[in-house]
Amino acid sequence: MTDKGKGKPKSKSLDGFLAEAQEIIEAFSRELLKIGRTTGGEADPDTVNALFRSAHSLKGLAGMFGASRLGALGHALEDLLDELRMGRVPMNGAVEGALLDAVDVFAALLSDVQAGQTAGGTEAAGLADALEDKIRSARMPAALVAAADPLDALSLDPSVRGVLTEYEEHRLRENVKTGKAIYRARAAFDMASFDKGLSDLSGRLKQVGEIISTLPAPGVAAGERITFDVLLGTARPRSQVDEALAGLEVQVAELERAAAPALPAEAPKSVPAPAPRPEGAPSAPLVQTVRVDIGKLDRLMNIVGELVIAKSNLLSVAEALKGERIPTEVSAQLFREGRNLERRLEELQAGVLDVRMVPLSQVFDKLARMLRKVARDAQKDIELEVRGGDVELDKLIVEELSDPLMHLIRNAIDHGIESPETRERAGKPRRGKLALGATQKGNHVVVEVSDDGKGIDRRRVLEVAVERGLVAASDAAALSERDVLALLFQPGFSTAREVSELSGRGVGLDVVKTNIANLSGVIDVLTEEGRGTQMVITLPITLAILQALIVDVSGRAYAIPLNSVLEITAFREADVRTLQGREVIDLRHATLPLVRLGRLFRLEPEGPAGAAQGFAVVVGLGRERIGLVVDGLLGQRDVVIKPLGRVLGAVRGIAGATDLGQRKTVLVLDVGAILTETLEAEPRHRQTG
Amino acid sequence: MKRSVLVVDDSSATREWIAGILEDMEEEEIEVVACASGFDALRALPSRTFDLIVTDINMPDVHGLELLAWVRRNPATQGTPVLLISTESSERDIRRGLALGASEYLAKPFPAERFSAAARRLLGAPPAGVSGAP
Amino acid sequence: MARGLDDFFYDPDEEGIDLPVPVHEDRALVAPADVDAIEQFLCFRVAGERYAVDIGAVHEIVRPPPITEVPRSPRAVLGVISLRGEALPVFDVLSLLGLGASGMERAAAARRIIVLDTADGLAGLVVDEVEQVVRLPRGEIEVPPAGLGARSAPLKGIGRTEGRLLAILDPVELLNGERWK
Repeated sequence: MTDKGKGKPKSKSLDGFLAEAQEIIEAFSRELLKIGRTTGGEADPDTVNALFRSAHSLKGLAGMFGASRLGALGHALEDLLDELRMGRVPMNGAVEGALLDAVDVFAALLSDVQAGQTAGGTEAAGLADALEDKIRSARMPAALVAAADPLDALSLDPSVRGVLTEYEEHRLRENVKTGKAIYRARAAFDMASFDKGLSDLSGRLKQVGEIISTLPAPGVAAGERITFDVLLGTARPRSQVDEALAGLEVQVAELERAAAPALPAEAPKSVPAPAPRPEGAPSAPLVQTVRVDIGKLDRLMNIVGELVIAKSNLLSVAEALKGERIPTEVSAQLFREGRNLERRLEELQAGVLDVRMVPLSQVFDKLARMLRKVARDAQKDIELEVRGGDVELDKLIVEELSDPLMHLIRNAIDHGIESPETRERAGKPRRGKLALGATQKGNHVVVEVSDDGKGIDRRRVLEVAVERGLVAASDAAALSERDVLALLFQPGFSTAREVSELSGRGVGLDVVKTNIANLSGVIDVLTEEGRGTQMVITLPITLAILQALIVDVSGRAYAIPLNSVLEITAFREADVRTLQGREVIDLRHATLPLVRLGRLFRLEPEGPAGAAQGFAVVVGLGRERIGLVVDGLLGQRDVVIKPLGRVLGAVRGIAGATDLGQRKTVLVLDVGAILTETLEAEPRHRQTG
Repeated sequence: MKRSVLVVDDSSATREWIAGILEDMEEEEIEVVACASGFDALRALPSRTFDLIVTDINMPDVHGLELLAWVRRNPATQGTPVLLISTESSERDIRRGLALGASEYLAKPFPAERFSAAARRLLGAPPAGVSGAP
Repeated sequence: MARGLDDFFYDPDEEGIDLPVPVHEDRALVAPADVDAIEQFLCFRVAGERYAVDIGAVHEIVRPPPITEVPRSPRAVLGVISLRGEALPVFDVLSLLGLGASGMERAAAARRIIVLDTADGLAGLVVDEVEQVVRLPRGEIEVPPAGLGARSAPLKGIGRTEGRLLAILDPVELLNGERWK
């Protein structure tokens, strides 16, 4: 509608519309993933209904705010989904393809709206036109079976039947047609808390059957209790229904059928039951959420960070006062309050960090959708296994992970997993497996992308590396397996003979590595020719507030994030050996390379030279370990890493700066970068002659 | 005279838009109570006497038709005018709504004037201006 | 003269929670291409020479807190300081101008840091002394002679106040990464 009149939504409403439309699209996308997991022509009715409702809401919303192209597409999709949920169209490849495409086209149209183009003529509108054609061809009118309406035989109160929506009626009819029994569960609840009680009741009922409708029953006493009737369709025997409702105050009555062929109330188990209902998923609770601007979260984090510093300072003062002539009770009280503050602050800190944490499923779901499209285009049969979607990471990290993971998945599909024919010839199952997983390991999260494809051909990698001048032919033979695989991450490397359209314009693994490094993470590769490849990314959980070890190097203080510190060991200079040009020591029978930070940072040494002993802070990330040699240990603090600012840009080995109080700025080391720098440096060749 | 209107729709953008129209109506002083679901509406209804209920049909948990049926059966709310706002995807549902006792229905999307005219009608106020009923 | 400057100063030793608001109120003074238009510059001294920058680019002026050196950074970068919880880099003016380098000892003796507002965020110049704000009509600013070379790119103009020369610097050019990275 173009005439708005006085009720024209103000521009703030546009933001509201955009945010809500975005949420609807995301909900649609999430539901869509569930569809892929069923086989055959039947899709879970709850899921299809949820998809229908999303399309319907989007259509209505778009209409209200004048986004006509978006609304039109929503309408087309709604019609398709309506036919799907009413059983007039089966779920098949064409339908699924249209639904998958819809998410991206919706997103593109939404961008148009944001840019002020609501009518059409844009690239997104063209995509929408193509999609609508696809939808039209997917909607084949099915032959309508003219038969007596089974619902007429059901002893259903006409007033109840009158309240059911068309869809609910359809579901009721389906249940009756497939021979299920229909029960009515009636329960009364307090007005104040009925949704909890109803949610509990629904949850239990869903375990034994399908909930067709939830109706507020007549005859409620004014303002005190409210009664609900829940209609349930189930093939299970009555005893199971009663069992599921044990302990609840509820009356269960079966709706009788007038005609004989219907199953008796206690259906014997020998009757083949149709596909089992969704396993015990309780009815979706009305989750209360608040949309938060990430900028506000960042500000909150900063404030918490400042509070942490203030707390540390306070405790330092309390400590200093201990020696002064202050009455002990006062001093003790100061300490107590300080500790109390510290506890509360830890809770607050954890709370704010928690708000920033989002589950990886946010990005996994997006990838799962993309993967199905890419696999289909590449004509490869691929099964995706996703684990650990509930593992949480800082929101910014999760967002930054999307691109690198997408590259890795594309690589796996393009170069890793073979075509079904090739696989068959190799004795593998035609369907390739791609696994995307996340696990939490202490203060780190490990994200893996693995495939059971053909693995990485090391000889080919070397060939290409020599071709591109990344390594001299004479050195090639001497490279260890690790080094060969590391070549993959060099800029300018690509094993595809022609730049595959699917992999994008020659964006290589070096970009992936850089992206991961920006998150203070590392990436490792494990591969076996013929069997598959595994890409392992290790990341710190959060980049916000960390515990850090403060160390002294040449009279200057530096902070090392504690989550990378494995241990601290003292060593004797006499025990330091040189191996392939690097200084190493033995740590419990393993060789530990040493990095003298003073030397790395080109600092003038302070204090007497030639100390007999040194401290090594053993740090590790992924599979690597090194020992950072420092002059002294100054303690442990909570720090908030602040970036060094864009003017300065990135400084090798430094992750940022932090304020230790008294306006003393201390630099925080980027352990991952130092590790990488050290281990990849050309080992200094032993002096010859 | 102050009037109370209950607006029930699961879209927050829509709720805000409609509340805006109602609050802007000059000749009435309207207090809007907005709910996102049938459940919330059931909770809000006993709290006061509403002069008008505006509800969508498609909503999670208790949907608009069930809410309407309950409103009509409940002695306290029997006489409250109910304005159904819904997209026209299921005519049957809308006809059913009218059969259940909805006072009027508006098909989404609708322009603000059509809505405010309907609201005025149902609230019993004389229509503003002389532009005539839609 | 001195009175106007008090607004600029953020005294780190001051008690109290209220932090002063950074000093850029509406500077609606520059009229378009008008020879009589008055421009305002903040003058400062480094190694005996007088320089100036457009007051609009100045975010604030602070007494130098401890400067933390950043290892393996370019020579022009003296280090970073902490300002109200944020870390910002501070630079040596002489190095930026290609006139040699100040060591940390001179930096330690510096009395002020001028914090400039650049497109990429805040950055500080370590200076010996901040003098005053001068007002010069645009017409009285000499354009520097050509042929001084790329090194003098930051020199925007030459002014005269109280009979002495003033080198007016362009903060954007001065902090241009190409010069010092």
